[in-house]
Amino acid sequence: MLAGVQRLPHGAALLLVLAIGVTALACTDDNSDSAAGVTETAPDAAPAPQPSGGNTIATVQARGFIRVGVNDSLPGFGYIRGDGSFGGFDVDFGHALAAAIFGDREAVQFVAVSAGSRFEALRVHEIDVLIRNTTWTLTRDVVQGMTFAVPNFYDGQALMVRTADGIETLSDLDGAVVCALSGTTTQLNQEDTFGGTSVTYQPLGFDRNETLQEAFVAGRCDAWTGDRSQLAARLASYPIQAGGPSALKILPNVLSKEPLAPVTRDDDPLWADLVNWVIMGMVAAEELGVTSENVGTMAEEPPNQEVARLLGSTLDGSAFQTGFGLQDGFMRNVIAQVGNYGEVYERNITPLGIEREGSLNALWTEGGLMYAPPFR
Amino acid sequence: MTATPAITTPRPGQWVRDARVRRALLEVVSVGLVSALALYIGIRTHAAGGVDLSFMQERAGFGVGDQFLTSVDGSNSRWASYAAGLMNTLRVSVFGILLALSLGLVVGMMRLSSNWLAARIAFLYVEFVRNMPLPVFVVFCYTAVVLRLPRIQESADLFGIAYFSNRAIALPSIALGPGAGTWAALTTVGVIAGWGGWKLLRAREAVTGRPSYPVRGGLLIMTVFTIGGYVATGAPAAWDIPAVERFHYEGGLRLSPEYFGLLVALSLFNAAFVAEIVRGAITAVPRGEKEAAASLGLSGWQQMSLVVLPQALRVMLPPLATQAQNLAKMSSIAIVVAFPDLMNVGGTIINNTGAAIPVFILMMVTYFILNIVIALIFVGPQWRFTWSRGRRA
Repeated sequence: MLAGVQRLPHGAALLLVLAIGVTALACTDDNSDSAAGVTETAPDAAPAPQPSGGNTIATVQARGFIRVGVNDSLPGFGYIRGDGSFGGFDVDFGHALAAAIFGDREAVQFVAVSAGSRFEALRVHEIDVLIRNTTWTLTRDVVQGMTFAVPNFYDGQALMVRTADGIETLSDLDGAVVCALSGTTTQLNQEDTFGGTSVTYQPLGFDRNETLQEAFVAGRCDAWTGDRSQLAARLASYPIQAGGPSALKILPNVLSKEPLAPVTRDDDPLWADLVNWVIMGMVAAEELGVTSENVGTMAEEPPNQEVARLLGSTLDGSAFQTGFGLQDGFMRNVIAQVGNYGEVYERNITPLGIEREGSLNALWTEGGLMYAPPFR
Repeated sequence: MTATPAITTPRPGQWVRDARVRRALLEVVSVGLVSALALYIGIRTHAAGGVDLSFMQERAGFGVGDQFLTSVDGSNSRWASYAAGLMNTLRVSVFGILLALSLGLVVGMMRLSSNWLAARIAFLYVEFVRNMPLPVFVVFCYTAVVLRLPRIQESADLFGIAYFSNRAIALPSIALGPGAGTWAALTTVGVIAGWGGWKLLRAREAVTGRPSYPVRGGLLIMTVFTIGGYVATGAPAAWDIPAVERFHYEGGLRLSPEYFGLLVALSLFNAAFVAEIVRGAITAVPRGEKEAAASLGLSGWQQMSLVVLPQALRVMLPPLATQAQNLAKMSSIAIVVAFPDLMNVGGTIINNTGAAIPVFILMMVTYFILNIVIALIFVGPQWRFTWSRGRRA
């Protein structure tokens, strides 16, 4: 008995060391997996996976739906509707991808990811594409090993304050408490803007928008900083008990450029190209005057070659080949089921009170940055 | 006689039954496994480029709002921000442990009190807290209690020297001027001299048998040095009364709502567990001890403080150490109330650099060291018990 009792610590120590070792091994394995970019490939759809990584199109086709990482608490961009479904601008681009691949806008599963976990979720293949108001930066693109598609929304960081506080310019914020979401680029821009000036500020970084709003309503913060679009969404839904939208205003200063773009992993260029061209196809459709209403007639009788190529209409005996391995005219499904860029904008962003006219998100023909390369 | 050779003759395979051989074998196997594992992990880490922390020397680029004894901004290195986060973790852990221990001791004794009301209140408090998840409790303490304090423009004040609002809790503090160091040195000398005087007078009292007032004498020496030193160095300490500015308080000791809310939540939460440890330890002291103390004529308080608690302390120290370590680890929940602790700052660094694994390893090592230090602090008194037991035996 005594010998058994004495030996117990050895056994326990051994178990402990083994447990630590196994955990460490598991961690290292995860790490090397994501570094090498090994993707689960569908057995028959992809007989020869590319050595550099996976074939995401084949994987999702075998699975039958795509998984899209979105925001679940940002009105207008990604949020959960009353009936439990996801809605918003970013969510519609997820629907557009599903319509392009499967011809069915509902062949998509939305995964709510936080600002802090979004890249990891993509890295470990929990999602196929991240469309969650994510700013395109060099570090994220290069060091984090992500591939950014063309921005679907050009945003900029701004500051929201209470009207009653009489804050007009950035220098009025001397000594103020500025609240932001932690784990975002906003904290860095804030420091870039105020650091080195005579304006001192106290940063306060929350991990959830709900707590941030609670603190702002209670008067803990003097200013709320974030992307202008997000602030507009918050302003539009500001609680009536706290004074409603008229109690707040967004300062005109632009603290930073925030191009928001969908993100894919670095290991599958074809998949990244598809995400890119679905967005650009929607922009092109708007430019060419193709809408969800007239897409049928446009496809039957294309007014010009560009529209015919975009919608995959058979012209002179053959349809334009995109090279994605999808059915001809996948953009036709996208426009019919989701709409062109302008329609998606109008459906989701316009109700927030963010004017499109004259902004960076207008078509290039109207002075904006929305410009699609030619479909040919 | 005939049986003896049968026992000593080794049968094939009998060495397996030898406890010494088995123990040695187990040790060889375990050492071998551990070495192989360590080697493997080392090779894998080396192959992956090692744990490179050079990015920690780069400019942080983000500010840390609430700081304790540090003064770091975005132009400092990430190490500096990390240190500011560590100081915040230390601050909330140390004061949280002190508060939780004091409150837990009181509540634990209340639960055993013969006063029905006190025992019921303590029981309800302990059960309420113990059946509550920590994040819910922390967010509740922050949003429903601390954020409900008035706005800074409508600060509640206490005789115009302390202010309470959801911007900060501003208390008067002592501002030290030039000469404070000399004064502190004089006061230290006074304390030592007072202690020496007390010892001398007490010895005299024992020898002569006449009252020599050792306590009064010692205190007098101490007071003379402290007050004399204060006057001699030109009154180097003054009250620093906070003043309300537009967005913040100027001067005084300011506790941020995040710190205050987290500290209160962690203290209240852990005090309930401490109370149960205290109650268990007191119950573990044999009844006879208390009865013997009562029969000696000791009062209720004397029975508790002189007889029961010292014995209970030996039982409660190991679980109290665990609870203190728990509190330090629980402080990593700070991010839910926007308090920039180690985990919060580390998370921001991960987000800015993408170096999740090195930063997580760094944080794990930091928390590990912190917990080892807490364990050592609690082990100190335990050694004393072990020694005293050894001396008596």
